[in-house]
Amino acid sequence: MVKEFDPRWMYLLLFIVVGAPLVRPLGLPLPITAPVLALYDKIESLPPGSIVLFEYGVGAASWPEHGPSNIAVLKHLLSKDVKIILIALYTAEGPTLFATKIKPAIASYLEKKTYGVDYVDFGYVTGYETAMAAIAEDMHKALTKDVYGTPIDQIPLMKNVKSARDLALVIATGYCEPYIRQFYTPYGVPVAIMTWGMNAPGYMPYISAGQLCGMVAGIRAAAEYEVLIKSPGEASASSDALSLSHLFVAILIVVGNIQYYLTRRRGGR
Amino acid sequence: MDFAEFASLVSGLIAAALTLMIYSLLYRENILYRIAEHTFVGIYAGYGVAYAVKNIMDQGVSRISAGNYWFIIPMILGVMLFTRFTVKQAWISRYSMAVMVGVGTGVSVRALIEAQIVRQIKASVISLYGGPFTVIDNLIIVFGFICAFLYFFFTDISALRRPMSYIAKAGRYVLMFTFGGAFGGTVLSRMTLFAGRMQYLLSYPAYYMIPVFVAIICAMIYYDLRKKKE
Repeated sequence: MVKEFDPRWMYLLLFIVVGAPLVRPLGLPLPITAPVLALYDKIESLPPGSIVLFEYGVGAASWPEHGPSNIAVLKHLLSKDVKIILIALYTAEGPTLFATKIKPAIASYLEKKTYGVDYVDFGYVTGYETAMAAIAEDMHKALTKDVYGTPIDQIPLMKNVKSARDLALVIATGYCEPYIRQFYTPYGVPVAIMTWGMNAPGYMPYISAGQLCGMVAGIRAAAEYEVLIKSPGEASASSDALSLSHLFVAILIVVGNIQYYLTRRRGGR
Repeated sequence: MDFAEFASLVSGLIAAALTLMIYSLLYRENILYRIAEHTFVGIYAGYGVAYAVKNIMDQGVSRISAGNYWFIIPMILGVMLFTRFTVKQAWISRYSMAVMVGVGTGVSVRALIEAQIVRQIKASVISLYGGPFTVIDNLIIVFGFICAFLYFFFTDISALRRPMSYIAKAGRYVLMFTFGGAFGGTVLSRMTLFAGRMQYLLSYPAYYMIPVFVAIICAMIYYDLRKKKE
């Protein structure tokens, strides 16, 4: 029987494997994947003055997965001549994280834009998919005022934006299915998603079917986006740590399987 | 140092301490982990309640005071949900639940067939001509789709006979590959969260807490070793 391995040694090794490249980056190559490039190209191809609905429903727990991608994509949008409607639908933590983490990171981009004319923030709107359906149908009925309490009718940007038909693109955080159901299928508005890395395989069929026009899945994809917009940030800094941690997990899986095989061969369970 | 910088320093140290207290579970269950866990649950619940009240004020009360009196109906339905906490009147909350489930289902189902069934089937009808890699890619998609689909073909006894049994078996392997990919993705996503916290812990002012944490863990190891000897 193979001796039982104390998992705490594995945790210690993991701390070292993840921590070391954060202290001293290795500069491992970072090829750009197709879904990330697709979103970048989509934003690049937007005509001047296009209206983009940007959903920043980032939670504190999922910040490492969603935060860097939100910052990178927002930086890209703010560098273009497009109008942005900011909203949080996925979680109520969105506005807090937007104010404390996202806004400082994009402050230099926001300075060049005028609030209410180039972008507007509606904060957290409860109801998730029900709210999405209402917003897509009639924004002026579903969103009465922005995050500062200004009535929607007094916001210059919203004067010509009535429903999903006026949107050129929806970029959301979290799950893509509700956005496909409420924006793409009934109104034909292109939808892109910033999601967890684990969702990437499950969302590929939506990319193949053309229902998603782009995807930034996890911090690795966020690092790719940072490379594309030439603005290294949080994701780029941790990409080496992630690559090494993935390699470490792969080695553990192989070692675990060898141990299992040896145990069985010696008549153990 | 002004007040804002001081507040940022203190909050940064508290966040780092709480993160390290949570990670102390990796050594063993301890009181520091419990304190951090309960603090997190308490803060999250408090934040949720505060936002729920804000939403009621923004979405309900402000609209009612603006003259949209029909918003009283969802407010009443919301209040009815609280009858759930009583044994005798719990049935009243079912009406609110029925409305919530009904509206939610109705809103999502209206586009579900087209978005998640019809379009996905259409996307599976793909060309087997093109470049060598395209052909291989598309063949895998078609093969995987047919096999996985036929794995769930239970209604006919012929499904258990050859060649259907072989196709169903291949479908099982396709599903296992998919689940393996999803599980791998989940593990690696957790690794991303860990890397994110590590990145935070190695930044200012969080790294001041690392020596404190190491000292606490060393003390715990020393205590455990002494106890084992005794």
